[in-house]
Amino acid sequence: MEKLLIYTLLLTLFVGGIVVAVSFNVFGGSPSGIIRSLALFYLENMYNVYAKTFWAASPEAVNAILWDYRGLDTIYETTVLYTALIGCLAIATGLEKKFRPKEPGLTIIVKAGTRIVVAIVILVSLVLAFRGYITPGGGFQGGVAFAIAPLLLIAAYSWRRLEELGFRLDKAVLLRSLGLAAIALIALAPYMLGGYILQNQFKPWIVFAGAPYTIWVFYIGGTLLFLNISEFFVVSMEFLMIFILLSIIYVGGEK
Amino acid sequence: MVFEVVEWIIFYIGLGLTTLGALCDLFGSLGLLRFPNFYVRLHAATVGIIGGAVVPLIGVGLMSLCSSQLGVYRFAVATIFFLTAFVTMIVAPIGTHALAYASHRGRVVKVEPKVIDMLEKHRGGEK
Repeated sequence: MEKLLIYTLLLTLFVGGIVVAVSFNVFGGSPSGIIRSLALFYLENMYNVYAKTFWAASPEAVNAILWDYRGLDTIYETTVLYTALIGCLAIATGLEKKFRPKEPGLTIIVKAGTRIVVAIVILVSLVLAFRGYITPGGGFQGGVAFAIAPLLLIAAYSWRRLEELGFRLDKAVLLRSLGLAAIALIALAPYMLGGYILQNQFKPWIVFAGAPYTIWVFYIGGTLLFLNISEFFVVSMEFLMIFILLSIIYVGGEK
Repeated sequence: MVFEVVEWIIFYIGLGLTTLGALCDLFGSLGLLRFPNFYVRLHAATVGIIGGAVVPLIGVGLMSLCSSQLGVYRFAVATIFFLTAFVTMIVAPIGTHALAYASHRGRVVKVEPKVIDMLEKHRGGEK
């Protein structure tokens, strides 16, 4: 007991010391003192409606960098996740699902609370994904937030109930593939029309006229909205596939 | 003038709620250390969450509602605080309830020291 007390005290002193040291700039000053030239470039050009040569038509810096300035990087990230998921699916092929005889789930208190939380989670994830080009968020973040909903449903109800609701593996694979196809289409369409791959807005040295950044009165930020929605479907369905694969009990499998 | 006085009163109510939250956190952590078994400790943890997170969040929300130097944005800030308090108030008891239910049902944690355990019959005996 005394040993535990000493360890606790030491840990508290250590953490407290680090906090004090950071707040008094012992490890060097905070990096926010100077805006570097690269950051200055993005801040000046990202949503510059007066000089549109380098603009991305999005007031949200992270989203503009992820899908416009460094778009190919995000495409490769999506590819990495896609490849990992192919591995997961390959491990699970040839196995048969085994149902437990009875899966009542947790108590009614947990179920009622889970329904409320799942509704909130889905709403927040949609806002994150569909408004990612205006406010902080984006397709990946929205997809990850959405994936919490089926996870909670698996924990509170059961995997079978999730399947009754329509969260099925084949459907997830289909939606994921549709999202990937949409991303590929949006990336390649400017190239077909005379621009470069993943081009968003008009550039004076190339033919492509740029994606429209408004539809009627709605501001959509060029290709960013569509890329965010596609990425939302890809990421949410991939995480759903992981959770379904982890929660099913498989039998057999020797082929 | 009256409005300003009401503003100050609400501000100090918020300050009081925040202090109460700090006290609840202290008592919750003390209970987490000193209580005899898992289920009672869960109760102490919930004191720490509801008393130590929801109550101060409401207090900070009231305080930001009365901070006129924030301008119009104080309503947005207060709304975020109240929403977070609401969600935490729903989620935290459900979490501890699920933990207690699952550990009792799965016989992971022994109920000890025990005066009476009415749920034991329901789950089917001691062993």
